[in-house]
Amino acid sequence: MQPLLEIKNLRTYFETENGTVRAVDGVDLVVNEGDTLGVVGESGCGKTVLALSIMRLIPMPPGRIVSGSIIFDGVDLVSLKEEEMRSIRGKDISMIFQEPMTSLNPVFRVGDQIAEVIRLHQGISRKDAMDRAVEMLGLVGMPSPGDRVGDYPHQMSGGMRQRVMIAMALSCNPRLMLADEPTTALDVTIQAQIIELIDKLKGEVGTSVVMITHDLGVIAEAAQNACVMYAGKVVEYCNVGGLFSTPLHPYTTGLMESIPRGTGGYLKTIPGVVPSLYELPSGCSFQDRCPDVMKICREKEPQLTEKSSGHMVRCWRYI
Amino acid sequence: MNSVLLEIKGLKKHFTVQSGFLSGSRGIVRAVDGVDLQIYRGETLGLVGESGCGKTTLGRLIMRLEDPTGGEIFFEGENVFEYSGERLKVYHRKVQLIFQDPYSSLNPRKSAGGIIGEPFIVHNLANKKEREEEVVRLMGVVGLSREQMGRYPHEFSGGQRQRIGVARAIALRPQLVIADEPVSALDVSIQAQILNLLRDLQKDFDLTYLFISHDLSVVEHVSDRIAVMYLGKIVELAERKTFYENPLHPYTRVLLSAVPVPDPGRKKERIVLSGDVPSPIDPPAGCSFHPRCPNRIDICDKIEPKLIDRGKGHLVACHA
Repeated sequence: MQPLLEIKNLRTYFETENGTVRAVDGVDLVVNEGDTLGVVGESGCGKTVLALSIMRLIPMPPGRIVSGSIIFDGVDLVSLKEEEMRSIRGKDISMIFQEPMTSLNPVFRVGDQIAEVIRLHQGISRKDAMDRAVEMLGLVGMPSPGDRVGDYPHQMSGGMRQRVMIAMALSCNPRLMLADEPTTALDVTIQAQIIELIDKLKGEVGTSVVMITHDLGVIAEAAQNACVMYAGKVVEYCNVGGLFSTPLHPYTTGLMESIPRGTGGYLKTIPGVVPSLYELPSGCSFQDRCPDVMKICREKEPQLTEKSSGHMVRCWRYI
Repeated sequence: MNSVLLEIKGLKKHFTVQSGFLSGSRGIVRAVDGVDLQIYRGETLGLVGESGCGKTTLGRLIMRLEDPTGGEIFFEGENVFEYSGERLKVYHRKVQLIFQDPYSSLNPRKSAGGIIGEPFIVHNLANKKEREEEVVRLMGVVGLSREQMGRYPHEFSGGQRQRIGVARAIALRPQLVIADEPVSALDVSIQAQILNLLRDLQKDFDLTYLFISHDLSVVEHVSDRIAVMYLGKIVELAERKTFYENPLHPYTRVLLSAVPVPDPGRKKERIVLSGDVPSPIDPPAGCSFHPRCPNRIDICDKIEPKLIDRGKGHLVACHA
């Protein structure tokens, strides 16, 4: 089967006064039609920059896609002109952001904001677009959508705003939706609603999803495949079952063990902090926090290698 | 069981808000609306609830950062709201707060050493030399090095900043520490480090914690007893084991079932609520949870249920 999205060796760097930040540093990923790919990692691991690179929303300068390709439906997004990208963005690929308050425009009614996307990409009349906006709000479970289209974002709760974002993202039946921490700012009961909603709409609209999160619980419930990112690189990549039953990379096992599971006692921790992206050590970037560090880890960088069928890991222990 | 350290009786805090933009019509937010709670010496009491349920306001009332609309708080048998002057100062030595956001709760213009040493200046407890010794000792206790004393907050990572906040909170050997979402701004691997630190400190300094959080797995990990708040009221309170094995209030069950479990093999029954938390300005009549409740019965929208003991200190406010 032809994958919907295939990222090869993507590198996105930022030039700053203090040097080059290698936010995304050689990422390879595949998203199949109809699947959800989970991307997990801690703050600063490059997961948001990865999503912004796919959307071609990296501010340039200081940012720059240095190398690699993002093949979406047979077209390399990296090489597209801005006008060509604009016709894909919001239509074929859409994005949901973490903070629904700051990503909606506070001075426009939510209905107008959804209708704008629809009119831009489908060239239908203002009235038809507004009808479609009401329909979309109903689809995402907004109570009395006909009245709420006239609301401004500040009149809504966090969960409702996130529904507006999802309605907007889905309004043109996109083939791929990038969800960047879509539930992090929400309470657990609302988070459960939103995860169910994304899953249900995936079935109805047939959209593939890239779900970016720091929460392994969300990955376990929402994704089929998952990749773990650390310091701009994918360190482990496999299906969700494999990731949780046999995690291989010491960073992944460390993350799993640091989740409180109600057993009391001390939690296992990953010592130290994420290294600064300005001064990554030579060799493996996890070496200073790794419990099983070897001599070679400090000298040469490991490559992403297939350990068992479809289970990729970037660690010298498995090479 | 140990003796009661802090007792809250019928505590209320209502805020007046302007609800219309130009109309000037006024509403009352019942942030804390009749809370009774006891905290025992040496325990960790977890307080969970969704945003807007009043858990932070409750913490601020205990700290005496807010004046109550009604009700009382007793600390070691004395009414806290009668304290003033020197006695209030002594109370503030015994009760301390750890804040959620390690970025905004530290003065950016003070060095780490200055921040940790400040409580000694405020309470006039040590001369310069003693203070410095104490700061070095405290930094060691929370896992920071002596060399970092002169550095400023922006030079530290989030986890390290939270360690500074913890050092400041325990500087004066408090008895009760109110930790308001102390790990929710931190990454998972750092969160585990801070949780372990808090556990060590509890053992070494005989601390009592009120641990406020929205994260049920963190609360389960740290708490001896757990209280659930909904719209300004406690709806369930139980020992940890009872709470997770036999939750009684429908809201608690919903909360527990909503937590994403990091285990893809486990398919669980999830109760998904419809609707949002109602506005605390105009809470529903009767039981405030009834519009969202899956097990609603006739009486629920008329009479407010009382918090009743269902055996072994398992308190529930529900008609069912």
